Amino acid sequence: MGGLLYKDFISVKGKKLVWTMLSLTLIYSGLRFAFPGTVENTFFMAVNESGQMINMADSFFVIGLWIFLIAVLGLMNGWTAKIVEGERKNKIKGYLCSLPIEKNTYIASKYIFIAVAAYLFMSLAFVWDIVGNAFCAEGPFSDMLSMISSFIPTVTALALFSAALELPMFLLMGKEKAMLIKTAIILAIAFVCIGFLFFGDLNWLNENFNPAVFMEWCEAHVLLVLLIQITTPVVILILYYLSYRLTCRLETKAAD
Amino acid sequence: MNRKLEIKRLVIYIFFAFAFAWIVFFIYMLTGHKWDGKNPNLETLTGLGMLAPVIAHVLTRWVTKEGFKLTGEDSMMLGISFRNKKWIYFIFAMLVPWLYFEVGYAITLLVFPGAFDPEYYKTLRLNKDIIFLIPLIYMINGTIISFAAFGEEGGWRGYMMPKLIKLVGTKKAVFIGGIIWGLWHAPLTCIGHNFGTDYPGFPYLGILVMCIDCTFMGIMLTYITVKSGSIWPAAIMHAVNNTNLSILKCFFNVEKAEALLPNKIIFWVFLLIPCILIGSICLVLLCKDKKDACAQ
Repeated sequence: MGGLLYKDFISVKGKKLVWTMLSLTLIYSGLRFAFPGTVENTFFMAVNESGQMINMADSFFVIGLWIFLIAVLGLMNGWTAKIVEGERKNKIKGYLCSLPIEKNTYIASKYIFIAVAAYLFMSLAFVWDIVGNAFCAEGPFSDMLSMISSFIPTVTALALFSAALELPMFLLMGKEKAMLIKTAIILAIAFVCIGFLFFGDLNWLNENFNPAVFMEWCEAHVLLVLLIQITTPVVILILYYLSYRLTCRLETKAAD
Repeated sequence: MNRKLEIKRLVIYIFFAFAFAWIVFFIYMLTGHKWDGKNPNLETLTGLGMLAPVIAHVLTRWVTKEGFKLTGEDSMMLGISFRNKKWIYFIFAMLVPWLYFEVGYAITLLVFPGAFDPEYYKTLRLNKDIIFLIPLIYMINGTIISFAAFGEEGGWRGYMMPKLIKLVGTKKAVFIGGIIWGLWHAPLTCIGHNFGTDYPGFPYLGILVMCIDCTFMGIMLTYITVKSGSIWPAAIMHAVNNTNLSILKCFFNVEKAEALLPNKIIFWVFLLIPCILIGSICLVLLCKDKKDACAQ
């Protein structure tokens, strides 16, 4: 199993990625330490709509964390294809099948690899959030960072959910067919979004989908938010496991 | 086994584990901060010092060219296996902290019934509907967000304890390991982590209680690590333990309790009783397993 996981690690250029992530974390931490929101800085001070003096330096770190989360989601989304493609490209799938490795172990290695990566990224996101919030002035940005931190497991769980849908497709159908289906789904979603931007009520979107409204909603529905935070990762982990079982069963059927 | 080399590796590991964490803890201390809840975000940042033991583990392996075996003997024990009923240790890891906290609070409330306050959960800003879900919520949260605890366990249970057990045997190892782990927390204890700063015998008594806590907690963690062959159950247990989960805690009025007995540390001693009991059982089981293995 260790060897299979290491192979996937190489497929996604893991070493390069680890160093990149560590460097980015150090840069983020260093900048946060150099520009703390708790110390007034004439370059960054601004007055918000409610007349409150805020340090805009904090906003950069909130945006930085958002970018990190989105980048990680995008990166993980591409990995399902990469770890399956790697074997075909290097023509080692046949070689792997000749080794005393069960098919289920091979499939499990893919699922475990994505789950481990999700756990590591989630942990790193927490580190970014903790560092960002440690030197943040009390106020909207600190609240936003706290809110992000409570939703990090949910966001990570969604990445796992996406992998739970994609892995069976990539493992059973191969990269080309799976990519076609994936592209079709993404295009369909994109068309719906573009359609909404053309014909939908943008005011409604603006009024209901902005961080301030979302934070107010979270404060008003504490119990529901807590339930979402707790149940989403558990439910998605169960689905992830079921996806693995289903892939194993279908793979066995296909082999028969 | 090359005894000299193992001792050298252990010393290097302990040096790194203390140095990295203490740098963080001392920066926090020397900038005039206390662990009093006034800077919760900075306290959380200082908590990242928990990652020091695992960093020390990796660095020691790198410096001493020990290799980075993931599973098996002399490995980093990162594998997870549910075979041979090993899943039991994961359940143990999630449930036992709840058990000893609940029993601990029950003992404390039995000794100080005046500290019982049926409305205290309101002060903690808790919704009445979720009080009975607290253990479950914290168990899940602790399991999912276990990276900081993994930072500690990856070092203490993943590297130090196997080396100590090899060098001095199980019984001595768990006590020496517990004391080292307790002393590692000393700078935080000196600024009020866990026990505050206003108790007689501060900070020495706090450090002593922390060493006892770490010893018995460490025995449980070592037990599940040895039995499961993985540090993950220990990381989960440590994370769940740090959430301080208990239903009775929501009815334990700290202010009333402090009025009854101004020495806050006494309450910790009562909370420790179940932990000591379970730890002792684990120690007996650990030694019994070792004897059985030797007999075979």
